[in-house]
Amino acid sequence: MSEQLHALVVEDSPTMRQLIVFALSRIKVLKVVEADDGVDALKKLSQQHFDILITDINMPMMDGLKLVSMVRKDEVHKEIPIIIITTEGAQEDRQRALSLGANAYITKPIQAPQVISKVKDLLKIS
Amino acid sequence: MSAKKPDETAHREDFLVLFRRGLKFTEELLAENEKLRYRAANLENEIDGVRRTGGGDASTVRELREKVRELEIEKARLLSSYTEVETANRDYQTRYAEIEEEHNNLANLYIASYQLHSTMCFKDVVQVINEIVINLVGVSCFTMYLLDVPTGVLHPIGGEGVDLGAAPRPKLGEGVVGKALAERQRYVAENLKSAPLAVVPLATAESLVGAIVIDKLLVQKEGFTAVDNELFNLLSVHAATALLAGLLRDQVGERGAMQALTVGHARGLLA
Repeated sequence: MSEQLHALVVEDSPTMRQLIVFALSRIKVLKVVEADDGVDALKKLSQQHFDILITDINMPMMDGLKLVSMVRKDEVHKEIPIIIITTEGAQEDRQRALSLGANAYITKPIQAPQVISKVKDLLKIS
Repeated sequence: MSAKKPDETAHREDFLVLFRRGLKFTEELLAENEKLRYRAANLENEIDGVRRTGGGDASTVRELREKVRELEIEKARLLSSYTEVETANRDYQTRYAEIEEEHNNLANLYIASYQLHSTMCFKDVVQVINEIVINLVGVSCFTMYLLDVPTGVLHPIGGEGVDLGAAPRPKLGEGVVGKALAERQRYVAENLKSAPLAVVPLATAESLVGAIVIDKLLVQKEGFTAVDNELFNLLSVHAATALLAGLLRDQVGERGAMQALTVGHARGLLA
């Protein structure tokens, strides 16, 4: 039996969150937990282990870039793979996110196979 | 008589010499003949050998040629099969990509529909429509209008990247937006530099409800796609229904909605 992996999806839009979770449901070994924003994400990160973090940028309370920055400074989670999924398609936004420590940057509207492929790559699963 | 004797003797001697020469010649001739017989026998053997060997090679060559011909046929058959498999494989890959795309599109439509009808709160419905247009279609600038039926004026109620207070208020039947709604016909501009880029009328079978006016796509989006058209089809009817249901539900309130939720009332409507 394959090892169970855990993903945290951080997205304030329920529609978008459902779409990402729906896409990730095709990765059978992945169990997904949802968070509404950065603050909710940090709370959930402190409660359990996650193998990957997928986050939006534009969110209330705490945006995705701040979340990435804080996670990378945290001893426990500093190595966790992070994927940004955002409407921000400008090159400088991408560079900024990657320089803060994101491993991948996907722009909306998303294609499910692209998200699945990136998650599998980062988790090194087939 | 005695005078002839030496001649006879000499003649006899000559004859003997000649005879001996003839004998020797005959013996030599016989020896030569024997040699020639021997040589002939050897040559015959060699010829037989050559015939035997030469005949075997020809047969082997024939066999090998036949084998090569069979292998060529087999190779051609295998190449043909390989080409067929390769073509089939390419077809499968294309089909797989198409199915992936269809799956992705259906997921978008399912989730858009699910979210639109997950609430009857007018404000939440407006928010869901905003999310669909921004995240699923990929729009950075748009206005959502609601039709004020008594005046026939479209009022902005939602959107992204626009100042709703300063947004124009089109009249039903007038301009690109008003005409699109009055005729229930979607408008899509021919190029991405036009404004608006698209107008999606929102209408139920019975009522005109409003319109979504798209002015600008996200920078990474190069144009409308097939699934965008499907999303517009879905929004045209489902967003209109959800907005209308939200308005009615907010007018009668939660209590009123619950009071309407009776079997008797439903039977009365069906009668």
